[in-house]
Amino acid sequence: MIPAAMKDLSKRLAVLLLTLLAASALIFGALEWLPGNAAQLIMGPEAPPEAVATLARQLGLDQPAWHRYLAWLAGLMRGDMGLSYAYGAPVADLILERLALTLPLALLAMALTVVVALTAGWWAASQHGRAGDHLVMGVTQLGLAVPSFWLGMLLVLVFAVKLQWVDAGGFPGWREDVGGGLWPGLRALLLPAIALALVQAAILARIARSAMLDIAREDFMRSARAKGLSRRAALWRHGLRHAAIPLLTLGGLQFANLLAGTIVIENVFTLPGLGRLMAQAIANRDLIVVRNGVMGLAALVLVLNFTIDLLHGWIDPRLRARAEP
Amino acid sequence: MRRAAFVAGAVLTALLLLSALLSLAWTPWPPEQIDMARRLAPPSLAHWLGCDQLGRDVFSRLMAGARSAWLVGVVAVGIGLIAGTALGLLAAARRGWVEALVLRGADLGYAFPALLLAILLAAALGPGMSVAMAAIGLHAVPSFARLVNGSAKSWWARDFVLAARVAGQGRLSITRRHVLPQLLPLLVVQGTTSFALAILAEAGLSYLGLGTQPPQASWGRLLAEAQTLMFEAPQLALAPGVAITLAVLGLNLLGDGLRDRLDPKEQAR
Amino acid sequence: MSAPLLELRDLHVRLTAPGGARLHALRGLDLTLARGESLALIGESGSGKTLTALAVMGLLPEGAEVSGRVALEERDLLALDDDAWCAVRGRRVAMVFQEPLTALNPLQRVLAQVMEPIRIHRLAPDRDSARQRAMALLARVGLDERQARAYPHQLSGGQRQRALIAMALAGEPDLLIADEPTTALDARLRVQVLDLLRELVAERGMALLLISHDLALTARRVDRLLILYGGRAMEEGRAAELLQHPRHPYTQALWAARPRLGAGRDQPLHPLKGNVPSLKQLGAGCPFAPRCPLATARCAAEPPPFHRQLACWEVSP
Repeated sequence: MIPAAMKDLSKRLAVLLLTLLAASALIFGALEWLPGNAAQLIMGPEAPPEAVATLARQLGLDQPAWHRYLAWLAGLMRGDMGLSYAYGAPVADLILERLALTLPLALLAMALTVVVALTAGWWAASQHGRAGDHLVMGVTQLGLAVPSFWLGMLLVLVFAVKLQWVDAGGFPGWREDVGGGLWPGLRALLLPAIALALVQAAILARIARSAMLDIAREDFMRSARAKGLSRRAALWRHGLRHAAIPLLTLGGLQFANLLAGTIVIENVFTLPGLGRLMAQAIANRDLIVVRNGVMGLAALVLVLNFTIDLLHGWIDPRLRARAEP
Repeated sequence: MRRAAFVAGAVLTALLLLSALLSLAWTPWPPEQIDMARRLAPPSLAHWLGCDQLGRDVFSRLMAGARSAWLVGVVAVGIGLIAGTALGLLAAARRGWVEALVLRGADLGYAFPALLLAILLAAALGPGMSVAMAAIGLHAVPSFARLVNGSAKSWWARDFVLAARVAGQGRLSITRRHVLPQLLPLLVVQGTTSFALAILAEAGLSYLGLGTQPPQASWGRLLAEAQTLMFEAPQLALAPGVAITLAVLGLNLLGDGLRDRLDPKEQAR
Repeated sequence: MSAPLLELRDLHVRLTAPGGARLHALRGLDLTLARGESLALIGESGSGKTLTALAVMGLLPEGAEVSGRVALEERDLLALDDDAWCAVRGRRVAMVFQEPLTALNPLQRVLAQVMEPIRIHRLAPDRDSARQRAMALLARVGLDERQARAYPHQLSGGQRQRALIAMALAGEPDLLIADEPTTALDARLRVQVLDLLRELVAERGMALLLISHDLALTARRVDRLLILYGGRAMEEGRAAELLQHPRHPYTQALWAARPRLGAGRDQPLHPLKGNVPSLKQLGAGCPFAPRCPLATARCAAEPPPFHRQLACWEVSP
């Protein structure tokens, strides 16, 4: 007998795979609607027809659409994303290289977001109705309206231009042999991560606050106070765990936006991440890079949400009970 | 306190709309007029917010930017609202596999923020304002669809709708006459929220160069230009960002206020 | 005569109803409890008994007004500030709440929740010794190690209730308040849990304030009884005497209404006539007057004073 937990997991995995497939179809389809010949567009209107035809063959454009789609999928499973037209290099390498910056940045921002949101939400809830609560609500209201990349610019203005504490941008790399390292790399990502986190935390802090206010009314909070915990301490020790649940759910949904924000902010700090690659690919009409890059980003979001779904069971033991005999 | 916020939101939004509309007919200075003599001039009576690196009046450029923001916002929200509501109503009316398909599609849609869609569209069609409108609009569809579906479903379960069904009214007719009118407050509130998000998205897209292209002005573009002069003229980065923030803030406050007034559930809180 | 452990004098509690109306829920309660003594506060819902408990714990809901004297070992609890309360709750007086499933944090293992008072009040030098103490306490109430490490929803109702008791005892309080500790349980378990409570309290020389609506169940298991109705005390006394000679008409009716094991099938039950009044319906005068067989016009107009452990115009103390 397959234990219920395994059944649940495999069902979720199947859904994930189907969704990934659907996403790939959408992405492929979107680029298929290219008005005119792709090769023509790449080479420009003055190019000789033979050159265009050669390029078309190179790009495999003479094959029917579904054939190319399946070939692409097969390649994805092997880890082969084809060759970039502009760079002449394997797309997979290009993307992975850039991802080594974009992904850690997004994850760092997400971690900071959760910390800030939980703390601010907790504090606002414990100060409910008083000045501290109003302050948090006011600041978050502002945070919802500020574009994160502008906040990044402001941070650069203050910390790099005026105070000169950090560089205005650039990334030294993760490896020490190229002049970088773990700490230098993280330092370079700190300011952009903060800019992203403060804006994301605005909405999540409100959710956390709301969740904790609801929790404060629960019976077990009264039990906690009956043991001798102050209202604030009770909210911290008991409410935090509960608030983490809706926070995680929403955070997962927000990850897509966070990723988009990351790509934009890479421009502010001149970070050689995925965003830069995509912008250049668009300019060069390098469709293969675009297609695979977008697929990679979409896959990241879907996998992350899948992971968060699984995490729900870990955080809330009541959900685990379903899987247990 | 909440009332003050609502009024502030309404005022800010009205200002946004007014400057957008006004800019069609008049701005203090032509937004594209270059005057190198006034390069980086500080604020003065003639140029309320000073001039940029090409001597163009900043305030006028902001007004022109409002126009882009408003235009993209209206079209994008329009797309999201119309397509999303249609899908949501369909799902609520038909239920079963149709609803499942729409909801699954909405889930998939969440994996594609406006930026990703914009990247795809820009790669296929070349960057431009229509790319921004389409991308942001498409991104808004799942939110509307889910919201409308959820709300419409509860209306379908109401007695007066059941009575209409028993009387033989068709699903389309019921949707049009009984369900849709009940959704209008919800749509208005979601519309303002979407609009706020659209302005933020448009700013990001035009900052990257994927959206509104020159010579059309856009707040995001202004920020991109300001960034190149970060060390030389940091003040240029302030005004467009403040404009975006105020516009979004206004819409958010307006939306919150409308929700308080229009949603009976919220009124009980 | 040593000072009483707990002393309530002329305790009044006024609540604000959601609509804004002011409700006078507790109208001048006097109560004393000595160390090592057990008292059952008996009353139907709405009588004010839970509010009494919450007042002693300082956990009355927002908008509640308290007046009178609440003294624990001569110390006026109503004058305490937040920090002082935190030192008292769990350590000097602890409470076992009514609904065990919601009173426990569903996301935390039972052991951790029992450990918490020990840690808060620094009753153990480190985590490990705290854990051992909590384990020992849980074992004492009949929960083994596996159950201790479980989450609340994985335990049965009776086990959860016992975990709550362990949690209340963890702080080694002088006074234990148990609010309807058996209401959520099967009839079988009720007696078990009550007896467990009595044992534990006796072992530790604690005082027990037991809140219940079930006179029959609690009567023979406590030292003293106090009967509450409509926010006022009706009668008080040593349990044995009170049951042998109940003086107040309400006490008599309660006692007569109890279902008796062994009584024949056709023996009628003797329920009280009428319904418990809501707080808004209480008028001037004795709250029991509308349902009392001895009621006179004076009873309806003027509340009888609580004198010599009895509050009744028609019965001499």
